[in-house]
Amino acid sequence: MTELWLTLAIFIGLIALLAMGIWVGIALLIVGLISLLLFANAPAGIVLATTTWGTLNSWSLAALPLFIWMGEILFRSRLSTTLFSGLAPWLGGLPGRLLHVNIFGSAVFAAVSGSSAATAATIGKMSMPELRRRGYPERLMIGTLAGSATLGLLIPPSIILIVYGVATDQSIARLFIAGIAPGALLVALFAGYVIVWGLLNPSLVPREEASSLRFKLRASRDLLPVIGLIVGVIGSVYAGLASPTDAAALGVVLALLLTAIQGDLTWSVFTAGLLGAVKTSCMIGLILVGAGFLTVAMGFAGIPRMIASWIGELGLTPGELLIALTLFFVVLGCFLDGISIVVLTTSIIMPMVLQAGIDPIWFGIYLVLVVEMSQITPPVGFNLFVLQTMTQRNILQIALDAVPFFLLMVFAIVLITWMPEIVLTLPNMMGR
Amino acid sequence: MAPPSWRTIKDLTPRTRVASSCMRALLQLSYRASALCGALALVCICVIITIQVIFNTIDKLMFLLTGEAIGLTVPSYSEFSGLFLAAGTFLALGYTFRESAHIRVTLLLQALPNQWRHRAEQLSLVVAIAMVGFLTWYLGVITWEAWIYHDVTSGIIPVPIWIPQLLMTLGSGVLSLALIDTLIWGPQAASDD
Repeated sequence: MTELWLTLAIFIGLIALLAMGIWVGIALLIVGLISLLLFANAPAGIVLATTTWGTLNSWSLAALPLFIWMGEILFRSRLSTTLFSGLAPWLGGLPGRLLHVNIFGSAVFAAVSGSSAATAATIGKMSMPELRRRGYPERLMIGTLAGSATLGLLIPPSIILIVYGVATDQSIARLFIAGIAPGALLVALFAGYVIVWGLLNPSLVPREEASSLRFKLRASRDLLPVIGLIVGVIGSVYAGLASPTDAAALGVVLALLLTAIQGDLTWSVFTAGLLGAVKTSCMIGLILVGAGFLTVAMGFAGIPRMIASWIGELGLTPGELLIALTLFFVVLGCFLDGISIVVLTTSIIMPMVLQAGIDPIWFGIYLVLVVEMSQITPPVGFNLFVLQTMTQRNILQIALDAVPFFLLMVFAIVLITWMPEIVLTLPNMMGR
Repeated sequence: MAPPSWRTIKDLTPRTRVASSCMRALLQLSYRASALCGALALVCICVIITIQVIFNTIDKLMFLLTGEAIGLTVPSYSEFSGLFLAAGTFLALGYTFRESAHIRVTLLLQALPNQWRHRAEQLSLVVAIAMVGFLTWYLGVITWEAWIYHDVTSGIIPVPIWIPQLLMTLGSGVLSLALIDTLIWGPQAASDD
């Protein structure tokens, strides 16, 4: 049982440091250093320095700052202002009408930004005033936004999947491709819910004027190139034409060209985007260094082997393990952001998962879905805070509005667990 | 909200005030200069890879047209990307810290009464300084070893490893500096200029 106590002590130490307000990356380094000094006979300082160097000196990790940069450029382009007007004419005919703008707008923006808080803030800023002016029910406006904003974590190019891939040594290209079907599934579930709701309560949905195809195309002329860019970037990875890092660099160049052609690219937009990307990727880089070091330190102490045999003796079925992990992540999601949760998992929980015979690519997608869910779990979750600041409403009320979407996510998780093919078919077809 | 540093700076004698503002300028310069290098590293990564992708495309086209590839390529482009990434990420650490972009959990801190919150902040900083100081020292040690043993990268173009490692050590040093700066003068001294 000592191994269990060891892991537990390490974990509690980590939580204590985090609660103190120590920066996540530095807290991981401290816990790793202490485990190494206590449980292993290795030169701690040298291991620390070489792991730090080894974690960041990585070709596949270079995709991370590049994709973040691409997002920062598009974020400052016309995209965020034209998303509503570009999508609205297409979605006005569906039952539930413009509520779908929140869902599809989030899906498009998510592909660009990869951050759920940024998605909620950007989409909400545009769509909330418009929807309110037209008289849509407030509860559904907030619910659709809270739920859909989390799509940012799953739809490629997803920053969190790059982090998971680098931290667990999985192919980022495969992870991206694996995220496509579950992402589409979630969009379909959300849109389906709004459609059913719209059919049941037609009187609550304001009327929209139908518009011609020409009008629709003109309304979305600023939007289509961006969608084309995203599809092109992901498509080239899927077709095996480019590695994620290559695709990311091209994405940056094309995003710059696109904003330049639209006339939005000024020097200050360029530097603001670049510095924003540097800050975000530097922050994630430090966390990855911490996680990499903690993983190595646990390896030196022999903890993964001990945990694996412990799980083996316990005879937990993968299903039972997953239920336990889901509850655990939902609790973590109350006070940690998605990336930190993923990073903690990779150091401490990955050995259990591998021992239980769970596919690591599948687990990555499952993890992102659970993390998404944890961001809107009542009573606390990151996205709920963002929406609270934006709408000035009670956080419990917002959480309540998000409940149907929370349940849809639970349903999606059950679905991919029951039918892992939803996740694994596409990456297996890549054949690489 | 007036930064606590203002009060302390006003209380100083004119002479120390000049010295203190000189030091502030130097600190700001070091954060910004190293962040600028970090940004340049990111631009370099993007440029190298883009050129490589263009070369690759030309190569494939030539193969389709003439049946023979020229073998156009940027030598060691993936190694260079990794080196730029490692050096660039570390160089930007201090700036990122001063811009409060490093993630932390503030839920508990915010719940504390003001006086206790200040103490908890100081404690976090002291702990972080110890950790980052330790990291900086050992990054220095492996840089020194790479220098002595003439370690180079294994790609087509051998690069002495001490160069990127030295940049990482510098970046880690700037982060230590930023942490100490924040411990002594508070997080808001940055906006004084």
